[in-house]
Amino acid sequence: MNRKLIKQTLNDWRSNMWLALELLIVSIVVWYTVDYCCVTYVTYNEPLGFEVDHCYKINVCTLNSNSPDYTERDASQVITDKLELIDRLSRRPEVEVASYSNVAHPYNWNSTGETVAYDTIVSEGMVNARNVSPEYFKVFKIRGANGETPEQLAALLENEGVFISSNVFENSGIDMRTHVHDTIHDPFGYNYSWEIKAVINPIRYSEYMAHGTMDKTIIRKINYGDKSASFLLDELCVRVKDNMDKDFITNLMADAPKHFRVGNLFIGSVSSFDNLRDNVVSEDRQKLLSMVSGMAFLLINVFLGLFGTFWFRTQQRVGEIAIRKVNGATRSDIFRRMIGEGLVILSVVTIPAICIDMLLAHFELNTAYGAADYFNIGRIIVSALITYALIALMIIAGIGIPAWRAMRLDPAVALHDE
Amino acid sequence: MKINIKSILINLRHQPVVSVVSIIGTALAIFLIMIVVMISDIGITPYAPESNRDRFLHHTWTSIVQIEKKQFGSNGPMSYETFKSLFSPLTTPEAVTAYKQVYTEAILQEREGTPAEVGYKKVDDAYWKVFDYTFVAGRPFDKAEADAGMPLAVITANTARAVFGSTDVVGREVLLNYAPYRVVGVVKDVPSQSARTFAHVFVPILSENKNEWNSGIMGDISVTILARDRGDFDKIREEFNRRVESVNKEIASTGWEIQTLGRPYDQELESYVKSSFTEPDKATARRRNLIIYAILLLVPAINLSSMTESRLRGRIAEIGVRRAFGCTRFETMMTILGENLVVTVVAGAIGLLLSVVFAYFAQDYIFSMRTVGSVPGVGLPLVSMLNWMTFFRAFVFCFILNLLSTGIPAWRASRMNIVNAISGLRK
Repeated sequence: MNRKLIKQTLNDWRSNMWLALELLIVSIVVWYTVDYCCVTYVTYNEPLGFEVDHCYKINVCTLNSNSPDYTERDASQVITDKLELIDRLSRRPEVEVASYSNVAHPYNWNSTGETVAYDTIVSEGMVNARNVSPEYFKVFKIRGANGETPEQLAALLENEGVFISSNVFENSGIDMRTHVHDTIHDPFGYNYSWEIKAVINPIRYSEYMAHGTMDKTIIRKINYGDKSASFLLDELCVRVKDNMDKDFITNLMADAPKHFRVGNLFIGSVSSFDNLRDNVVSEDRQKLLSMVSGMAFLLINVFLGLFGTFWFRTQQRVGEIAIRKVNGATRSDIFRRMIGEGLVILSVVTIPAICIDMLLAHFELNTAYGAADYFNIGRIIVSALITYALIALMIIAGIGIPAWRAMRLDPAVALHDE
Repeated sequence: MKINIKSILINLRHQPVVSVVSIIGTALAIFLIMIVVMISDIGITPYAPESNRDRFLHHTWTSIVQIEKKQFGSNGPMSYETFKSLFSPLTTPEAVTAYKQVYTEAILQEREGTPAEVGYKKVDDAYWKVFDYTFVAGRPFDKAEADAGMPLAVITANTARAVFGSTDVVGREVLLNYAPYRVVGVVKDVPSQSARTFAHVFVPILSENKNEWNSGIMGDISVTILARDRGDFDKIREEFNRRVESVNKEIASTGWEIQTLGRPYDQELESYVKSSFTEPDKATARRRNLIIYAILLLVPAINLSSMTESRLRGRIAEIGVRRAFGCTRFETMMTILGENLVVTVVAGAIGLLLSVVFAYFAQDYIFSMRTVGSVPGVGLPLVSMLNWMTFFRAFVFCFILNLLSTGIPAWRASRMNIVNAISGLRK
């Protein structure tokens, strides 16, 4: 049976060659997309290191000097005004806790980089430097890598020293979890050094950003007296009590002109972290959707192509199918034979396709994801199996309809000319 | 070559299932490829208020490095002073405008009114010459008013409705971040997709405090040049480079120097800009697009090719008779190609129509439109998706698809032995 199937496939080599070429291209593109989706799925589900449900960012603006309400304020007065604003916000009944930070909240377009050293080992890649008030850990529910609660971290930050994420020196194989109370310093000599007060879990940039990219961090307590604390990238974030999200933004904005104007400061807008997240991930999501749509288009093409070709083939082979039926072939034999023809072609092209897939993975994807540990033979096999299954499904659907027609052929009618 | 529509219809009807599948396949291919084209072209296709995109040169970001230590640099918008010294003396362009490229969030209200959350932009007077906003009431602020930094505002129609409940608001006072401005004009709203020109409120640059750093070189200003003709681009760049040289001499005492990185960029190149400190690469971006188009055309073409081959098998005898009566191989091939082109173009038109309808109604989703502030936004105009260029490209794609899918079957059909063909045999 199998030998006959292969022989018949070879007999129609000219049109089968076109099918094979089409399946080869489709297989590679579908594999690329499936692989991309698999990696994205794994990346997406890794722990983020923070929680943003019920969190909001309060966008604080400063009056322009052409406003009649403008008053001259020096840097320390501006800080006092900000602390007053935070205090008023945290006394609002819906607000659980409010924090003040500089380039620190999750889903942040902006970032400040720093390089630090542990002994003679210098950190590789970007280490995000965050300056925060102790409440920051409670707002975003950030936990320590050794099990510290947000409240414990908040208390620890009250003292001198820094927090670092466990992965800052992972390129050198050092897990910082066991190095609490050790000292890190600046990489240009020992001008500055800081005691590690706590080690926290990595804080990821977004769900789509792979492990090892933009997720290393060093956290210090914000210095209110420092000029940078009054700089324009500072942030005011709040966590709202669990059941009090409804109309929080509308109510706060309605009260803002009366209750939340301090000195030259006023609340310009309030953004939910769902919105901030959308801004940061929209491009990645768009890319994923485009790739999946492209893949769906190619799969529909496979369906249409096989449907058209095999519809015509069934017409051509009416006599042959009838004779086979007369000689005892069952309906399911006929059906299996036709589907088998499509699957033989797919199986043959899958071999060169996997070779090309591996080349692609080696040269392209490996670097695109920025992390070498995502590339392994298991991933290629899983993606290749899913690809094979998807295309096989299209083949069964595409050939199924003409094969079903062939199956129901009445030999007496088909062969009445003979 | 004569194309017989009747014969095309009869042939299509001869094998209805294969014909329908071919038409669906072609329509689907053109549908998807046109969606891809629209997504990649939305930043390049001209539409109001950026109708002159083909004559634009942009200088969005400025790059400076320290003269002593070249590895230390700063990249971002320039200050208004830098704009004046770099661009004001240029003579070749028709107009040059300075503006803040991205809107700033703010609150806008009538005195004692309810505040609306808006995006506002600082612009100069030439902004209204370079970008063609449609004024529904009033006028733009002029040079004298802009230079004096008068607190005047142009607002969009939806903003006027949100704040005042009407668009007839010229002369009324409005508070922008609690500072009073007088409305001088009301313009039609711009879709948020046009990031360069989208905002709810436009005020003169000098009506606000100066915003500058790095010895006053950097600030919050971007620049767009409107050339008289695309042919002037090189001349403008040369003139600009001479300006940069002379400005660099003037600012040498600050320790900084300006680097051009090939700026200013035309609209297409600007759409490929990834960051403020790298020069965009047109060749790579175009190559990537070509690979996508190739895959999207090649797969359906192979598909359609095997179906065209099936349909031609039914016409072997007819082709044989044609050849016997003196039709040359070339003519036979051209007739088959021509007849197929008609089918491809009809199916392509269906695909194009579907793509425009889909793009228009699903624009929020495919062009990543978003709502800014509390003022209702507007969608992209139909002309940004359906214009002569779209038609032309769709036709070119149909032509290539037809050539790819019918070329080989037509070539093989035309080379058939006449005797075999008439007797209906074919290898």
